[in-house]
Amino acid sequence: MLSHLSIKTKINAMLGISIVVLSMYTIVWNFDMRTLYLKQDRVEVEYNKTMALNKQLLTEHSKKISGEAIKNKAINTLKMMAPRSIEQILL
Amino acid sequence: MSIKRLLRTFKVQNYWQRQGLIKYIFVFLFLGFAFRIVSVNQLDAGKVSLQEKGVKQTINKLTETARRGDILDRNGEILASSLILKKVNLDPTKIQLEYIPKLATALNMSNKKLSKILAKKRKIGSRYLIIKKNLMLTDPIISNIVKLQKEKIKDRTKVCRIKKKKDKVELLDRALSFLKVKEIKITYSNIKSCQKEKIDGLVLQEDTYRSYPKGASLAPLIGRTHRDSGIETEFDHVLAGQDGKKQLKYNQNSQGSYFVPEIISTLKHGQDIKLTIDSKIQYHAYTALEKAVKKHVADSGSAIILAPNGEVLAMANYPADDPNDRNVYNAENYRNRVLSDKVEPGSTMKPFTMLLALDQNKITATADELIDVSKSIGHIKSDAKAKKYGKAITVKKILEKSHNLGTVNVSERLDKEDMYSTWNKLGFGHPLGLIPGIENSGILKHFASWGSADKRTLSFGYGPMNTNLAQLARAYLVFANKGSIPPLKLLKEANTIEDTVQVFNPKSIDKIAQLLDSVASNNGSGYWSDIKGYHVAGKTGTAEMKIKGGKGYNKNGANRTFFTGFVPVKNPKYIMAIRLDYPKKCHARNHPNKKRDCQGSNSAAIVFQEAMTNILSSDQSIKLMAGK
Repeated sequence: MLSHLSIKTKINAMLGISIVVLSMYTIVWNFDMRTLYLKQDRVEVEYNKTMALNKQLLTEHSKKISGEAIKNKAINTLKMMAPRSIEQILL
Repeated sequence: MSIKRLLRTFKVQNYWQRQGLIKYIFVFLFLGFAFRIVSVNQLDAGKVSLQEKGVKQTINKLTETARRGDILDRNGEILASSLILKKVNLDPTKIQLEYIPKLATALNMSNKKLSKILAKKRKIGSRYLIIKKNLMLTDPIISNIVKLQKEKIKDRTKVCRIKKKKDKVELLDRALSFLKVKEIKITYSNIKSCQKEKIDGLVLQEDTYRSYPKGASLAPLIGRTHRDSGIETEFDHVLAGQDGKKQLKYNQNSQGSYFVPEIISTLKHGQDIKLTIDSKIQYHAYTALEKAVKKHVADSGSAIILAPNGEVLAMANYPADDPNDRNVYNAENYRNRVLSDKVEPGSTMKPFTMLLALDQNKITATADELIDVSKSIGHIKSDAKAKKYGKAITVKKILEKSHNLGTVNVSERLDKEDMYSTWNKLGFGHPLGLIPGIENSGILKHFASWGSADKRTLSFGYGPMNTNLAQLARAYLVFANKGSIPPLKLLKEANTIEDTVQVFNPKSIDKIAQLLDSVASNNGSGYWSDIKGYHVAGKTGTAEMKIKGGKGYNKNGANRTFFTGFVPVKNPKYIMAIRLDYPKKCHARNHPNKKRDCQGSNSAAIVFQEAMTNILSSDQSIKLMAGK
């Protein structure tokens, strides 16, 4: 079908088509890169959020198990107090 | 040039002259363009060239903020951490009135209150209102706000606005107006238009906040950010990290892809620091200290607890402020007295005099060996107080009753060079390197400069030496390491060179440890440090306070009281040193209402007993003693 075309023309046509295809690929590739970049940004934000939440929970845990909180709860909420006298029982 | 001649140049038939004109025009245009190129590229357009301005517009610079590292205790519990908090920022001029009830519910406020605040701000044209701040990420207000911002279309509130709209003009009138036959007056009418809208003028912003969950108990050790104190300042270079900077280029000079950022400086998050501190032990030390300072009306107090390998388990100071309270900063309450104060340690040094004498076979420390206390030695008088327990007493009695003359008598058998060498090996006068920025390493004067009284006073903790509390506690590590002394450690994963120094003979250590056990018993001066069910050893100390900045001692009888002890006596697990500055209210033994002068026995020893009782009761590895 293309036999009537000279080799030179065929090569030119091939080159032309490949340039068009490469250009299209460049656009697709660039678009992919942009999508990837935005996705990376989103993931980073999510990661930072999770990290922040993790730190907050660890800090809250550390605060809750500190002796002060337990002591305050024992005295103020549970109304516990130290014994006034200790009797030793020999077993 | 005559007008005729000028006109001749424009004559159509004069081809060469016309061509010359075109040439001139082209040259003129070329010069114009050349000038424009230079002006765009180089000439000032403001302070930067247009080219630079153009390049700047194609570069997007991004900054990533480094996360500050956490400070953890030996069990990984958080002692200091940077939290992200949120604040709710409102633009009162933009918020739709219809959304106020919904917003008030989201903010957990009354509708009336919020309307009032917004109306007040709108009146003065303010566009900035922080309605809630310091919200934790788990706070329900945050989820309410996010929900409100991301409302689905069907859930959105109908917002009505009054708009001006042109009144309709008949087509015929418009045509006549176009033909300028009839003049039309454009009139407007107010129309109420209602449609579902998103909430406007509501933003959630981020704030960072350094949190200290253990409050005041660790404040002088950890310090506070942006203040010159503690671990936060000393290890700022490790904790702070480095902000990252990168740029995205969208111009022809950008190499590679448009969306691969060029890194200018790499983001490095701050590293976590793991301390050797045990927060539970720290809490017990701090509360016991706080109680004692209040009870004895002392100026201040400090305490340190060490593990046998030199790791610092607790370092407490009182008074101390809560670092979470940003409104208060008193530098004095952030001072780490354990490391920064150099003091004379008093009688807590007596065991070392005995150890050295025992090592050199100058004493045997047996029950049949009596030390003469009937004669004065130098300025140390043999008065009635000195002879209270007899004219000659055992080494055990000397330690039990903290007898100065008895100790001096033993020290007379020692060379001052040997004493200096031993005190030097114990680390007095040498920096510990825990927090170099605040540490005061004390003094141990060279024996060549000692006067005749210096060796005597040194034997009971005065004279040519002073020390910080951490150095004193470290010296007591000899009892937990068979006579050798390891370096102190505050960072769990620090690479310290283990230069353990052998100071005393293990046999001497065992003997003196047994004697110190009786000090912390009903017979000894440290009776208040006795803990039921455990073998405790220790030594009390009382030192006169020096006048600030001057020579000589305070004449009001201001004392520093000490107690240094370890538990259990065999293979000690905890070594604790306590110092109370100027305690003013102390009681006699077994007489809580009878006032007595404050000494190590009736003030600092109580801190040891209280703290250690709590620590030991939660430590299953130390077994209760049978029959005690």
